[in-house]
Amino acid sequence: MDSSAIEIKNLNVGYNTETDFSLIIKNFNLSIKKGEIFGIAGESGSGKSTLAQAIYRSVKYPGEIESGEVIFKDKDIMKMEANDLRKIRATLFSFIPQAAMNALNPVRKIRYQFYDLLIAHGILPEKNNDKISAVLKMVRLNESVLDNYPHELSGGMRQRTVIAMSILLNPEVVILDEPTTGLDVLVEHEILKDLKNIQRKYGITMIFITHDLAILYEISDRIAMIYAGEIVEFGARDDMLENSTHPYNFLLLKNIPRIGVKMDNIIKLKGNPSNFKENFPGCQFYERCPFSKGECSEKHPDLREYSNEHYYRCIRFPEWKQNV
Amino acid sequence: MNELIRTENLTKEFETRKGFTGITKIKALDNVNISLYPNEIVGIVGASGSGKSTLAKILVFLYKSTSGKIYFKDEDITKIHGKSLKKYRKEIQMVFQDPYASLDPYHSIEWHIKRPLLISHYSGNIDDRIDELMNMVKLTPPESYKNKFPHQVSGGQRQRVYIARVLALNPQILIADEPVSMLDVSLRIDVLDLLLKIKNELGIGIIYITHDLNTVSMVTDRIYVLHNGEVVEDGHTNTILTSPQDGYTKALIEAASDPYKRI
Ligand SMILES: Nc1ncnc2c1ncn2[C@@H]1O[C@H](COP(=O)(O)OP(=O)(O)OP(=O)(O)O)[C@@H](O)[C@H]1O
Ligand code: SF4
Ligand SMILES: [Mg+2]
Repeated sequence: MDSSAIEIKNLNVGYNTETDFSLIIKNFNLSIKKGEIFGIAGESGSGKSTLAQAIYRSVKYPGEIESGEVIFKDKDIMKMEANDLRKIRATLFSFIPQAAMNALNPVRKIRYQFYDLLIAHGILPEKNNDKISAVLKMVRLNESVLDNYPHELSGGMRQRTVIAMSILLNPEVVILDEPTTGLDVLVEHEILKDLKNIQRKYGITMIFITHDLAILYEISDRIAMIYAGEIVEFGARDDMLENSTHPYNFLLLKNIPRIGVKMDNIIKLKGNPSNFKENFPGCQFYERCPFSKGECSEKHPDLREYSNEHYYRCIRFPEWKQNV
Repeated sequence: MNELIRTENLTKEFETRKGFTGITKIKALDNVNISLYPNEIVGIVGASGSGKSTLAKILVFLYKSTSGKIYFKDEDITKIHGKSLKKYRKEIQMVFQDPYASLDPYHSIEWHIKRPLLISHYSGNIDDRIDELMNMVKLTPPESYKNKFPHQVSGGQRQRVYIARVLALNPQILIADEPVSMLDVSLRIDVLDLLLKIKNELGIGIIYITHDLNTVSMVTDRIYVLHNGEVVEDGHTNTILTSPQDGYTKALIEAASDPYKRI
């Protein structure tokens, strides 16, 4: 049996501008294993949401999926008929877009938003109240929320509602784009714990996307770091944490504010996260990288394997580690 | 040295209408006593709804307290108005969470810093002062930023433009309400470092409001932990973070994110 839940092959996604096309996600390859929490990290503008939408094939104009495959259950999502795609969405595969908790229908009680979801998949809501109760319990919401409008709920409760909806139809894979961003620390921490419990208990495959590196390292089994629409490092969480192979991952980890860390001990990361140069021949991280050498600006580094499923895209590894 | 600002039993009640049955009162702040000295950064820490922002709004006179007193350099200013209020408002400036919303998209970065100088009739050389402020917040060299517009710089740089703008008024107190929570990791440290620099070089007193103990640990000297409008614990930052006494403080420490922890 195949152990991968989703396989992304040579994915290219970008945005149409007035004059041409700007490529954001470049030749992206990744295989997500069944039952894991795969974390995708990157600063704002690195292309995380574009990637998430592309995997779910929900990119909207001016965005466009130029080429590539996303294999799910032996089928290429990119080539599926609209009708087949509709059938697998929410049932086998679901997606919580960034800021989804603010996208609940404001004039419809939560109960009917659950019903709508069932009806859309040809399921009679009246016979499935148990199912709704069950998912509410999983996210630790009281059933009374069903009689509320979204604005009557706190941010954390709305996010829990959205999570409950995403798992209502027992999907095998769930993509979550910034699921806790903007929530209070206490609420965020509780939701993260619950998400992990649900994921472990039901063996759901989760693709967890966020700019918040600290929580990503707390929750993920494997992590991919993206920069300018490309993976610059990926591997098992512990390897990424203890044996960084790419300077970007290494420096970001050093830049996370943390109890007990002194400002003087921080190796600062210079520059602006979203200033990517199109058609730059060398390493995209070149201008911000304190370990760069002339050669880095000349050729684009390939993704290389360091050790057992730990990959990096840097010409100067392992030399740069001697300059730390 | 004396306190820049001090509150005495500051209390704020909000009235909310509940159905037809009448009015319920919510205590957003309950007998809060805090103080801030020059040349220090004090953290006001608490989860959402704890009363942090209410406290800030009272200190800058956006809200009126229900009871209690506010002292500015030992003078009771609880009831000031008119000219004295205007004067006080210049001494206490706020920096907000969203660096994008606090700047005007149609004006250049130079305009944002120049305007408060013009309005306050700055007596020295305005161009020199703009350069000085831009250097202070590390928008260097100033020439390369002056003619840019807010959307052409990063979130961290926008936050620094706004800080330069409020420093133009020479305040003695700065209130920073979640100033880095919307910034990317690589930009946060820069803004936090800037707060330390402002404190050290200008001797300003800074009130740093947040729910995030990670950043608090890096910049503050003392903290007050607010829970349901009450100060549940206060003291030196290190002491509280290493041996918290209150259950709520402990929960906040446990929830503080850390890549080396595991959920
Ligand atoms: N509708 C759009 N039209 C044109 N360009 C877009 C559009 N949406 C996103 N982009 C561009 O694509 C790039 C990647 O954006 P994306 O939203 O995927 O980033 P992200 O990593 O999710 O950022 P954030 O952390 O801010 O959510 C950015 O340069 C952005 O400006
Ligand atoms: S290739 Fe060069 S510039 Fe790029 S990350 Fe490696 S050392 Fe830095
Ligand atoms: Mg995004």
